[in-house]
Amino acid sequence: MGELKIPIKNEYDIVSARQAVRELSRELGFGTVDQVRIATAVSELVRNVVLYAGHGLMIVQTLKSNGNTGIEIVIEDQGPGIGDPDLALCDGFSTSGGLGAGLPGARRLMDFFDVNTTCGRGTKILTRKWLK
Amino acid sequence: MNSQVIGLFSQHQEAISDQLQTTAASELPAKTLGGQTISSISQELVAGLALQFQGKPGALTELVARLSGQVVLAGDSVDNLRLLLDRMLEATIAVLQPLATVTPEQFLQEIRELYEPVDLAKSELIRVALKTQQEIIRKQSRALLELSTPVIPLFDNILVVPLIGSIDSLRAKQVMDNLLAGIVEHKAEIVLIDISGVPVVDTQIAHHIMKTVQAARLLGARCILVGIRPEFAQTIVKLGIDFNDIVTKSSLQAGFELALTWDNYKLLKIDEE
Amino acid sequence: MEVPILLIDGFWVTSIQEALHDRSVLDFKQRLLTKLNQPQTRGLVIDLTALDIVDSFVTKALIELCKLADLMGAGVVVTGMNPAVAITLVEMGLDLRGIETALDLQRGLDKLRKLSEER
Repeated sequence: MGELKIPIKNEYDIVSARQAVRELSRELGFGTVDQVRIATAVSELVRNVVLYAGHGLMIVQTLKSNGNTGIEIVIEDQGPGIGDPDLALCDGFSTSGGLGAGLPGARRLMDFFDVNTTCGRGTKILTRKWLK
Repeated sequence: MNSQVIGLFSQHQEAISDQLQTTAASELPAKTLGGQTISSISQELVAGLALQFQGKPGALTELVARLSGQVVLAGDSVDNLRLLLDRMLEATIAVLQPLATVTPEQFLQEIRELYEPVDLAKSELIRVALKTQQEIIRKQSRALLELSTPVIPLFDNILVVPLIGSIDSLRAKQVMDNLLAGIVEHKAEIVLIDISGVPVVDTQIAHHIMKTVQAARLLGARCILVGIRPEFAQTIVKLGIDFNDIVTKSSLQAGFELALTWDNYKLLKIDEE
Repeated sequence: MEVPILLIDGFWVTSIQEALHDRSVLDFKQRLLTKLNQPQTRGLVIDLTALDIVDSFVTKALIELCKLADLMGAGVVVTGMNPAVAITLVEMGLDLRGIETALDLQRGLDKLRKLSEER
């Protein structure tokens, strides 16, 4: 199955990114609530890219393993990185006046969530959700 | 290699099929299997085996796969189908041995050629039977899940959600979905959740309930939790779960009365004259 | 493309559309403040029916709008959330405590009327 690459350049891309992801998850057979979970997680993560890095890239793929189907989303940027990923993953923490719910909130909505970040060099987030 | 037995088999299908029916009649409980007469199945099986040697290898396996599914779906036992397959070989020997002109050793050797397709067919029979049964169970589970999470519109603005039986993660999710859908459909503002019928309530269920109540609030509905058993209350306190935001009442009746006051109603009993 | 703010029976009613951007949130707040400043204002209904997805950004904007309205002495009710959005918000940990909610516009207005009587 091919990948879907969506460049993130500005806040208008937040909407197109989550619409694209929602459409794909619908096609894969995810239920309505799961579609909303996935699209919302993407909304949070892509918004972070726009806020902190200015621009980045989202790559979406279909997963097939052991008869299970899932969706994998990678969101990467060359931004400042998350200073303390553990801290950023804690509730209530925010450097930009937001609710601090972006990263931990997104993580709660997905099945697998991995943050790879280096100060000054960028961030790559890989997240997956499986059909149940 | 031309086998006399196989040639004879093709020629005497009817006789073999009749023999099979007679033998089977004494052993099988009914005259039909999977909605089809034993007679008809016997004929199909024999014909299928004959086709194996007439340029259609796999004919018997395909046939048996179809019959196996048919039998399971009809609620009959596939053992009976397997019995027919076994007896078919016996019937073949019974009918063909007097007719064969080859030596007994030769006869036995040629008969063995019939065993392999029958064995393959028997494996397929079991495989398909299992698969069909699993599918039935899956469908029944889904149906049961939906049936067991009813949402009952009661009066004006009020919904009752009675939970009965143990609740696992999947069912909890179904309850939440049904409850919220019920709020939307009936435009309810008050939901009575009755968990008196749930034998074990653990932290997972407690969290699901909290989640459901919070989500219901976002849809403008308030929930009243009734039927909390003492054990559940103890668990909640012991685990330090904050249930403060959830209104609880000991019985459905008390819950209903509270719901009425929220809704600006009052129950009055009319005295009999 | 402005977000519409209507006056119904003394109550301001607005419907948040998809694609809420930083700049438009600012504009929107300004317009809302002006409206809420008017003396006959009885309250505000913010309807979310048009939103498929509600993330932390929208939630934050909602909370701010509610605070603003509250400061201006107007009651606020948020309406039109759908079940999937409600579940997702709760799972993310954003349950909008302290904000009144109702199923739809009609219920929202009923609630506001009740609230304004109590004020």
